[in-house]
Formats: sequence, C-alpha cells, structure tokens
Amino acid sequence: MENGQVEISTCPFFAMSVYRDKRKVKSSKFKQSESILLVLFLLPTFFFIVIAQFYPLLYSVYISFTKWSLVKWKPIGFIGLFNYQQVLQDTLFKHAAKISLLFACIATPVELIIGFLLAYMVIGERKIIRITRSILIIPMTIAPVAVGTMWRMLLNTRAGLVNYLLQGIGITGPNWLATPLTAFLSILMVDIWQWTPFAMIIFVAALSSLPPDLFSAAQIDGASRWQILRYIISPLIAPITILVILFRFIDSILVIDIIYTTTYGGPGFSTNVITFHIYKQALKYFNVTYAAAASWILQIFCLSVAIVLLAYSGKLQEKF
Amino acid sequence: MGKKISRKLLSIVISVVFLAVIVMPGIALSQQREITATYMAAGTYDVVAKELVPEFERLTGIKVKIAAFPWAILREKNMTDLITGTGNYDAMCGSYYLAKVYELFSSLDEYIARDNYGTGMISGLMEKCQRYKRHQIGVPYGSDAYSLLYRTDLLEKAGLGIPRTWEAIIGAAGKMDALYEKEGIDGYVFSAGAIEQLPTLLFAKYNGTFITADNKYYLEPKEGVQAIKKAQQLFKYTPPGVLGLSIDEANAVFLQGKAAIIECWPSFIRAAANDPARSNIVGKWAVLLYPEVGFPWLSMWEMFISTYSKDKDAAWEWINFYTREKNAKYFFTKYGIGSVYTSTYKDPELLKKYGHDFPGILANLRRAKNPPLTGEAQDFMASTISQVLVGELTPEKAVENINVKWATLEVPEPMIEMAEATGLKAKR
Repeated sequence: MENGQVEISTCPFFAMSVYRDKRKVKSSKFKQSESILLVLFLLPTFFFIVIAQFYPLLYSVYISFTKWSLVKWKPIGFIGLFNYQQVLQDTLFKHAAKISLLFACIATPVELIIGFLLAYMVIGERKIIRITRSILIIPMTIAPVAVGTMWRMLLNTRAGLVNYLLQGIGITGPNWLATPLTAFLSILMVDIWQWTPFAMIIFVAALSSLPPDLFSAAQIDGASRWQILRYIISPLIAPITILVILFRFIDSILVIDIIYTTTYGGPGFSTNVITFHIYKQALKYFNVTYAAAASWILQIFCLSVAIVLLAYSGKLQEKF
Repeated sequence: MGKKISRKLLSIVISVVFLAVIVMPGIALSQQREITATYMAAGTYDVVAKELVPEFERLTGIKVKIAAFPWAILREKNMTDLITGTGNYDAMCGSYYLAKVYELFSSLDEYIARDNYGTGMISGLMEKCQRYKRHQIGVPYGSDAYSLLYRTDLLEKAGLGIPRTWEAIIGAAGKMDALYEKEGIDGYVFSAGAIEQLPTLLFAKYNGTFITADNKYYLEPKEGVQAIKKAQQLFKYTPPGVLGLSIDEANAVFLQGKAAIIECWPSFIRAAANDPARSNIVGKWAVLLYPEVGFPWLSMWEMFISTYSKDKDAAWEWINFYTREKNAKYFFTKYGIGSVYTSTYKDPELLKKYGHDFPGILANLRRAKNPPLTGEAQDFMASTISQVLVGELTPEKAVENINVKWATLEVPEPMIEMAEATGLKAKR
C-alpha cells in the first residue's frame, strides 16, 4: 500500500481484471498477427480464384453486351441487351431450351427412382453386396465421350449389338439414332445408364447413415415396410434427395458430350440441346457474343433452380 | 605468379567452354527454321504429310511439325489460332468454310507467280481456290467431287441405259430396287446419318442461286422445293436404317453389292471398290455423270498461310513441296487422295486400273463448286433437310425455314466474291 501501490493479493478482483485486460491485449495482438498471416496465406489462392474463375466470368458478361468481329482482338461497340434479345427471339435457342428441359425433367426422376431402388437393394457390408455396388458404379467412372462413342456403336441400326440382341428374341430393333423420337430416347437412355449410379451411391450413403433403432422401434410398433419407407426413410433422406435432384437436374441441363458423340444434335434438331447449341454458336460459328449472352441466360436459370431447391432443402431440414 | 596466371586462364577457358556448351545449342536451335502445319486426322492427308517430313527436312533444313485433328475440331483449332493471333500454325489446311477469317491469311500471289505454281493442275482448279480481296490465299492439294456411282451389271441386266437426268436416275433407282428386291439389293444408298453430308442432296439438284443481288443468303423457293422433292423420291429406294448410316456404313452397303446406286465421295470408296478383299463389286461399277442441274459438291482441300506465321517463306516451301505434282500419283494410289493434277488421270498405269471411273470423276470435278455458304448457313440447311427426311417438315416448310434463318446471317465478303465467280449469286 506504500507509495500508492496496490497489492494484488489485497485486491484480487482488480488484479484479475488487469490480468484479463493484459490477456485481451495479448490475444487481440496475436489474433491480429494471425489474421494477417492467414490473409497472406490465402492471397495466392484468392488471386488464383479471381483470375481463373471470376475474370472469365466477368469478361463473358462484358462481351455479352458487345459486338465482336472475330478478326479484331477485342470486342467492339457496346450494344446493350441486343445479344440477349437476339437469343430470346431465336427459335433455335427456344427449341434447344425445350429439348434440354424435357431431357432433364425425364432423366432426373428416372435416375432418382432407379438409383434409390438400386441403393435399397445394395445396402450392407457383405462382400457380394460390395462387389455389386462396385460393378454398378462403373458407368459413372467412364468418360462421357467414351460412353457416347460406345453407345453410338451399340445402337447402330445395322451392326449394333442392341439390335442384334433384339433380333435374337424376335424383335426388329428401331433406327435408334435415325429418327427424332428414338434418338431422343437413346440419349436419355445413355444418360440414365451413366448417371443412375451417382444417385445410387448417394442414397446408399444416406440410407447407411440412418439410425437402425428407428427401424427397430417402428417394427416393434407394427409398421409395415412401406410405412417405414414412407414415414421414416423418405423424410429423413429428403434433404439428400433434394441435393441429388439438384446435381442431376443441372447436370442433365448441361449435357453435351453424349450429344456430341452420338447424334450431333440430329436428326434435324431433335437432340439439339441448349449446351450443344451454345457450343456450336461459340466454337463452330464463332458468334461469341451471342454465345456469351445465351450462356448467361442458362447460368441464371441454373442458379435459380439451385436457389429454389436449396431453400426447399433448408425448409425440409428445419421441419425434420 | 605463372601458376596463378595459368590457373586464371584455365578457369576463364573452362567458363567460356561451359557457357558455350549451354548457349550454342540455344543459338543453333533459334537459327533452325521450324514450322507447324495442320491437317485433318483422317489416316490419309495427315499420314502422307508425316511421311514426307523427313525428306523435306533433309532437303531444306526446315523442321516441320504436323498437327493433325479430326474433322470435327480442325476448324476450331485453325480459327482459334487465327482469331487469338497465337500463330501456332504456320500452314493450315481448310476450305471455304474458313471464310470468316480469310483476312487473317496471307496472300500467296507472289509465291504462286515466283514458282509458276499450278502448272499441270486440272483446268479451273486454281481459279476455284479461296481468295480475299482478289488475292489468292489458298492452293489445292486434294480434290474430290460428290459423285453418283452405279452398278454397271445391274443396270445392264435391268435393260436400262445410262441415266442422264435426275428423273431418269430416280426411275432407274426405282426399277432396280423393285427388280432386285429379292436379292436384298436396294436402288439407292446415301450416308444420311452423317448430317453434314445432307447439303449435297440439294446442291446437286438445285437450279438456283444462294445469294441475292443485294448480298443476302436466299434459297429460291421453287427450285429449292424441287431439289428436296427429288431427294425425297430417291430415298424411297434406300435400305432400312438409311437415316442412321455414316459415310463408311453407306459405302459398305455399296461395296457389299447391296445397293445399285450410291451418292458419295469417290475418294472414300474408290480404293476399296477395286480391292477384291474388301469389295464384291470389283469391275462392276462406274461413275455416273451428274445431270446438268445444280452442281457436284466440291471438296477441295487447300493449304493456307497464317498472317501470324513467323516464317511464311518456310511455310510456303512446305506447301509447295507437299502439293507438288510428283506426289500426286503416290497420294492417289496409296491413300485414294483425289489428285489435283491432270497427269494423274492420264497416267497409263493408273488408267489400266481406274479407266472406268476417271472420265466421270474428271467431268464431275470440272463442274464441281463450293457453295458460298458459311458453316452456320450450311449446317442449318443440313439439319433442315434432315427434318424433311425424317418426316418432320415438308420441302416447302423446309425452304421457308431455311430462308427465315438465312435472313439473320451475314454473308462474308469472300463468299460474295465466290458466288459471283461461280454463278451462284443472283443478278439484278
């Protein structure tokens, strides 16, 4: 107490607060230097992302509002929304959008249902089940271009294996890739063949993570298999289902490899999906500004679908 | 002291030698002239180019890299290189569909005049080469014209004379289709599954122009409808599944002896048709002259030099070497590449083997033309014709749709020039 000094022992609360203040200062200093360090570490990645991802995106927005003569290096002349207007008035674009939507609206639920059924059949850790699961996911692991080429050969009217097998059971196979309806069904079939395993594998993971006690309790309460599926499994895996729908729907909208290798958009324009239409405009005819505008319309559509589905998924999660 | 100097000297000498070892190859490499040339990866033009490289390098000291791409991406590769000004490819192969970027090719006029290039070529071929602002920018190295091949034995057995008009050809196809139905032979076959081939169905039967007097794409409705209707009539006599046939598959039908007439690129079928191991029709086929309506579709591969080429002279050296007359016979016999030189078609040795089809091929080549269409205009037409063949559209609606789409497309300046030169532009 001499010289106005306060002994810590005599004033424990004061001492504690001083100690805390010192710690706070130290900790905030540490935090500050740590944050600077973190920012420094993140900077290269940040720049990489900005350059690799955002720059091309922003540039494509920019060129979608301009006119670009191919032989000039840079876009010339700001033309406002002309490209967007041109895209939205283009009957080919509208037709392609219709085909893509139809494709995604059929492929997604079919893949979802078959994927779920397959998953239901292959849950478990027995060796044979694990092997079956591995075999079932093979289509998903093949490059889409290879899948398209393979199916083009399989679906060949005169020399394809599919028609040969059909002939074996007395059926005359159709001209798979030569008529509008069969060509559309063919690409649908190829997509479903390749991507159903994706849905399956997600559902296997989701189903495996469900607590077995719930099923035991439901069974004790006398719930049937259908009731368990309807009232326990379905709600529990609903958020995952939304996620699968989201992935598959957007992926189906963006399908291009299969089209490129099997039908090339034909016959006529029957399989001319939106991505293939944009690809041709950009890289075949070099109408880059039109393609940029069309891409952004597609991007906005996909983003809207994603937002709606994710919001719905969030609501479902809150509900359960 | 002496030791010190000699050590110093030694270290300098070693350093100089060391530096020289590092730097010299670099200097040597920078002095080595090197070019890259693009070709279609088809197992023909690209393969023969690679075969010629060692001899060319030995003769000129210029290193040549061959970049071969499948047809589907070749145009993209060439155009992207030009548009971005990359200059990766010095010499490029291509054709009229590169019209949008013609101003990015170098004029070859000086080289052509200096080397008296083009002597001995089929008359009129050099004139059909691509031009920009009246300067020649391409020189040919392989040519082919869509042709009708027919079975001589079947036609004779059917008691038919050689048909000269489209009506007669359709009639002959129909008669032979009915007559040989039991033998599984159809009247006509075409690679309708290869959508990009469909425009020829119109070109060969269309007696009109493609560009209006005020430089807009336009298909004359009456003529266009008639041409498509003729194609439809021929398709009545095709084998089942014709709409899915690729070029190879359609050719195989003819080679197996299962079709009386085929409309095809002769260079893709000729070698196989004369080979007993691959064909059932050796000595039983000939080329039918296209009727004087419309034109045979010309496939003329040309070599261009990019304005961004760092060594245009070297690129020309290579083009001159690759396209020389001396190679033509070898190209033809080994790879079936249609020669651009008259001498090939007059070669006594070749005449013995190909005498039955040479006159027809040459006649078709002389009349053959490139349509003055951009890739987009031609692709749209191809898909629309496909819609007619699958029954989605009537010929009238097809022509209407084509004209609606074409009205939105710009006609590049070189296409207008080409159309004027080939009579495919309407006069005022």
